[in-house]
Amino acid sequence: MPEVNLRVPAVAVREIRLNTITGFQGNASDLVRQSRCGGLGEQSRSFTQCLGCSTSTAACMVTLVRDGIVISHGPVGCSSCLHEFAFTYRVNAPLRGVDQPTQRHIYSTNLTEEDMVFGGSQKLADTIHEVYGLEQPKVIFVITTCASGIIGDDVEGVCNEAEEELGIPVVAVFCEGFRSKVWTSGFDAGYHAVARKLIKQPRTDAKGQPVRRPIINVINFWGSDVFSRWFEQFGVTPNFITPYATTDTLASSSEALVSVEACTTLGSYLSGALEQEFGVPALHAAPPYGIPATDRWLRALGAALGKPEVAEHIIEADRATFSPRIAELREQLAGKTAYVTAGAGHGHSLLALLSELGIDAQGAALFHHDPINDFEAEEADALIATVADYGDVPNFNICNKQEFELVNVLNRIKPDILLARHGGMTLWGAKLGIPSLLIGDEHFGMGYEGLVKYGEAILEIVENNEFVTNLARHSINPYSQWWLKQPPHTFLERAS
Amino acid sequence: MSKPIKQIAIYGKGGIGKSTTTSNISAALADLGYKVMQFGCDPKADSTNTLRDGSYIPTVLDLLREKKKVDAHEAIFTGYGNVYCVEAGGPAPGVGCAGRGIITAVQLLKQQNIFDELDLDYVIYDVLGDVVCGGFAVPIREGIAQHVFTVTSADFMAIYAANNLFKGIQKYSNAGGALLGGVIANSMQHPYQREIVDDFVARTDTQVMQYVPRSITVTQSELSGKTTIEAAPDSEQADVYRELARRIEAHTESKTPQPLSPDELKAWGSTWADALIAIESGEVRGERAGI
Repeated sequence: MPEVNLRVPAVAVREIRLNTITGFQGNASDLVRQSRCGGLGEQSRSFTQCLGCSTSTAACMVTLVRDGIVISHGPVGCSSCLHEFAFTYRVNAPLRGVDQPTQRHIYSTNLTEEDMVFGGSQKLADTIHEVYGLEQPKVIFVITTCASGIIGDDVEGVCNEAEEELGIPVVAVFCEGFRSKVWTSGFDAGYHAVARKLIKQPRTDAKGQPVRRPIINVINFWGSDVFSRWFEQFGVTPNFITPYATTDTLASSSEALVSVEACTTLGSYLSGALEQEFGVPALHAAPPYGIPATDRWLRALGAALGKPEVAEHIIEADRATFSPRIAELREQLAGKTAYVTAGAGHGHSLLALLSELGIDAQGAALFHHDPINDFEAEEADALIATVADYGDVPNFNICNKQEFELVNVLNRIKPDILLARHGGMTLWGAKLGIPSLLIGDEHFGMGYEGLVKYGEAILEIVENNEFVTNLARHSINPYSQWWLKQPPHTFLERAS
Repeated sequence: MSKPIKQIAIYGKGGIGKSTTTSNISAALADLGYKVMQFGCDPKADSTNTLRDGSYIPTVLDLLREKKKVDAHEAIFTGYGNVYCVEAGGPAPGVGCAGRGIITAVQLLKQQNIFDELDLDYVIYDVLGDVVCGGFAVPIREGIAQHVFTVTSADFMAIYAANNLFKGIQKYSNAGGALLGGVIANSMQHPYQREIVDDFVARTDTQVMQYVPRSITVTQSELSGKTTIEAAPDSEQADVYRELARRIEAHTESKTPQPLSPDELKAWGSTWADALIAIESGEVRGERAGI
C-alpha cells in the first residue's frame, strides 16, 4: 500500500507510486477493469507534442499561498511561464472573497553557465536572504528545476539552514521535470512540501487529546465556495488548501474534523498525509458531481461528522429546490452529444454531470490515469463511480494534452459540445465548429445546484453556435488531411 | 519508528583500497552480530564483490534502465554474514551523469523505506574517489550518513584527495551534514608512512581510526573473491580489520575537519619531500648492506 513518507524530502513520482499511465485507448469500463487487476501498462507514443513540466504544477500549488513567495532555483527560462499563476490568483480571488489580491512574487536564481559548473547553492542561499529582506514573507518555497537536480545542489540543506537563520519555513519542493511525465507529479511535490514543513501537529487539550476544530479541509484548486452553504448546516466551515490559504491556515489544517477533495487525483496524496501523519480522516467518497455521487458524498460527510440527519435534510431540500429545473434541462438537452477534455479526476466527474443531464457522453481525452489512488480508497475513485452510476463511456483516451489526437477524435465524432477544464483546449472545438465550453471553476458543477448551473451553461452554448460556425468557416486547420484520415491513435504503441 | 541506524560513508581516492576496507568492515560488523548494508556508490559497481565470492550484482540503475519502476528489493543481495549488498551503478564511462545516478539510486531506496524495513544497524556507503560533483556529496548530506571515514595511504595524491573531501565535509557541516570520524591509514608499510598520516591528521584536527598494513593476505583473499575476514579469519590482517570495526562500533562523536589550503598543503608536502629523501636514502643504504 502506498504511504506518505515525510522524512524524505522528495516525493516519489506517480509512475512509481501509483503506476500512473499517460497513454490508453479503449472504453472507460476496460480502463476500470484493467486498473484494479494490475494489467494496465503504459502505452508509449512514437510521436508526441509538448508536455507540461512538474516545476510548473508544483509552482501552481505553492504560488497561490497568500503570504508566501516562490523562488525557482534554475535557469531563468524555467520560470518563464509561472506568471500565469499570478493571473490565476488575481482573477479567481473574488470567488474566495479575497478583495484585494496581492501581486504574486516569483523569483529565479537565474543559474548561468558559471553556476552550473561551480554549483548554485551559495547563489540560492543569497537569493533566499535577499528576497526575505525585500518582502518578509511568512514562507519561502524553493522549487527545483532539471538544472539544479542534475548538478546535485544541496537545496534541502540550503533551505534548512536559511530556515534556521530567518525563523520562517523555507521549503524545498523537489519537482525536476525529468523525473516524471505525469503532470500531477508536480502537485504532489507541492503537497509533500506543505505536509512536511508547514502543517503542524494539532494542539492538545487538557487531557492530552488532539484539538479538533469545526473546520473541514477542502483540497482543491481555486473554484468558487459552494461548500459553505452545505457546511454551515453541519456547523463547520471550509479550510481551503492550498490556493488562498495562509501559512497559519495550512499549519492548523491538522485540527480539522475531516478532509475532502474537489478531485481525488489532485487531493488524495495530501488528504492521505493529513490522515496518516496528523490524524485527520479523509472522506472516502467520489466528489459530489451528479446526483448519486452528491448523495453519497453528503451522506459520507454526515457520517464522518456524526450528523447523518443533516445530510438527509440537505439532500431532501436540494432535491426539492432543484429537481424540477434539472428535469426541464434533461428534456431540453436530450439527444445531445458531448466530448470531454480535462484532468483525470475532474474529467470523470464531468462525464457524470453530462450523463446526469441526459447528454450522451461520446468520449473523453483525459491527461493521465491513476490505476489506484493514494491510500487505495476505491470509493473515492470518480471513474469507478461514474461507470457504475451511468454505464460505459466509449472513446476513452488517456493523453497528456496531445492536441493532435484531440483534433483527430473531435473531427470524427463531431459532438454537439466540447467540455474543457483547461485553457487552450476549447479552441480546437471552436475551429471545427463545435460549441465549446470552458469552465475553469471546478466547483461550478457540484451538487444539485451545480447540475442546474452546468446544464444552463451548456444549453446557452449549444443554442448560440453562430460564432463557432463562422469561425470554422474561416479558420485553417493546421493539421493535414492525411493526419485527419489516420486512426487517432496511430502513434500510440503497446509498450514492450 | 525503528531503532536509529548508524550510517557511515567511506570516501577516498580511487584505487586506495576503499572497497576492500569497507567490505572487511562490513564483514567484521556482521560477525559482531549487526545487520549491515553496504551501498556501493561508484559507477564501476564493484564495491561489494568480495562479499559475494567476487560476483557482480545487478545495480539499482541497471534495473531502472530495464524498467521504469524498480522495487528496491530487487537490487538488494545478501553476501557474507548476511550483509545486504547494493550497488548504485551508473552510466558507462564518458556518458551521462554518474552524480545524478547516485542521487537517483539513494532516493529510490530511501523512498521505499528499505533501511527501516530491513531493521538495519549499519548502512555503509562506499563512495567513489574525490567529491567530484554534487551527486557524490549526497551520502554526506543531512539525513543520510552521520559519520565519514576517509581511506588514505601516505601517498601525497591520496592525502590531497582526503584534504579535498575534508573541504566537502566542512562545507556541509553547518547544514547538519555528516562529520568526519577519522582517517583509515591504508597500505602502511614503513614507519615514515605512519608519521606522514599522523602529521596530516594532527594538522587537520582529526584522528587515525586504524593503521592497516599492506598485506599479501588481502591480495590473496581478494583474488579468491573474498574479504580477509572470510578467507583468512585467523590472520593478523583480519584482526586489524576487526579492531577497526570495533572502533567504528564504539565511535560516537565526529567533528568538522580543518582542511589545509592549497598553499598550506603544498608547503606541508615539500617539508615531507625533504624528510623523505633522507629516509629513502637511509633505507637504500640499509638494504644494500643486507645483500
